[in-house]
Amino acid sequence: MDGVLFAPVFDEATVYSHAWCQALDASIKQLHLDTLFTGGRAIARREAEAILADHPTSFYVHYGHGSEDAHWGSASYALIDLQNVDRLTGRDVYCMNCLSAKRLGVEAHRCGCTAYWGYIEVFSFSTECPDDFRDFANCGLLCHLQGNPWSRCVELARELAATIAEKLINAGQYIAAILLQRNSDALRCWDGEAPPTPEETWWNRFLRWLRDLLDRIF
Amino acid sequence: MEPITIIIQALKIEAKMKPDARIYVGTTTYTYREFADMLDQYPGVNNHFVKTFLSSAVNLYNSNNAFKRRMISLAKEG
Repeated sequence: MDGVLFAPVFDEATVYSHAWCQALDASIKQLHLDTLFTGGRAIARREAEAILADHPTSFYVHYGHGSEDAHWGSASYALIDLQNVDRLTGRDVYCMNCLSAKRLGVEAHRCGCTAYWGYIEVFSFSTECPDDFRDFANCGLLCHLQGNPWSRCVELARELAATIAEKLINAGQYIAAILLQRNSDALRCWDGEAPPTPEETWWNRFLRWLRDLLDRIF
Repeated sequence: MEPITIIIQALKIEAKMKPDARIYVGTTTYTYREFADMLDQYPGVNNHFVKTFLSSAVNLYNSNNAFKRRMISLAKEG
């Protein structure tokens, strides 16, 4: 299996992300690659971990809700978070979710994932032109699977965002154009070069100390 | 007028034309009408998304002449 794709559905926004991931899956299959698509419902962490264990070298895709430290499988539990981020080791990781490049992506890179594509801000879109946001979200992985290095894929994705934004401006869809530009600004791909280490605040240092203490006790 | 004032004025007019279009921001969703109300609170707005949205809008205004012209033209209608 070349890739495993996860697109859980558990609210209105994830109905869109699921549809976009299905479109991505169809495009990948047109490149004669094998994929395993799981989605259209909430996905349990155990199920995702079992799929990843069965396909240890496949690239990993997550479309749906994210946060700085997790990819969500439902409203209440994560598929991947800082506790099981090592499941991404040795894989290319491609996300269309909020914020996960900020912390989870950095940690995944530290654990040896070969590339991490994601966003350091919330991903936002307008219902005026969801297909344009889908095309932007999907283009990076498709560029890579066609032989481009990740760094070039980032350039191409940003060029596509600029082209789409221009089209939206000409169509009078200014709010959508700004949202797309904002997503483009928030796009990051950690591949090879180490991502910047966020400056640790006293509060984070305290939380880390508390977590270590609780780990030692329990 | 400051670019940000022009942008907010123009976007409020756009929102008025399509009040029921929606923005999805993570797990939150706003109609354009609700979003325009949030923009109206600038500079007192406390919402991180609105702040970064306006920052991207100003960057686009400064880098894209078509966008800048259309913002100015739309704001004049208001």
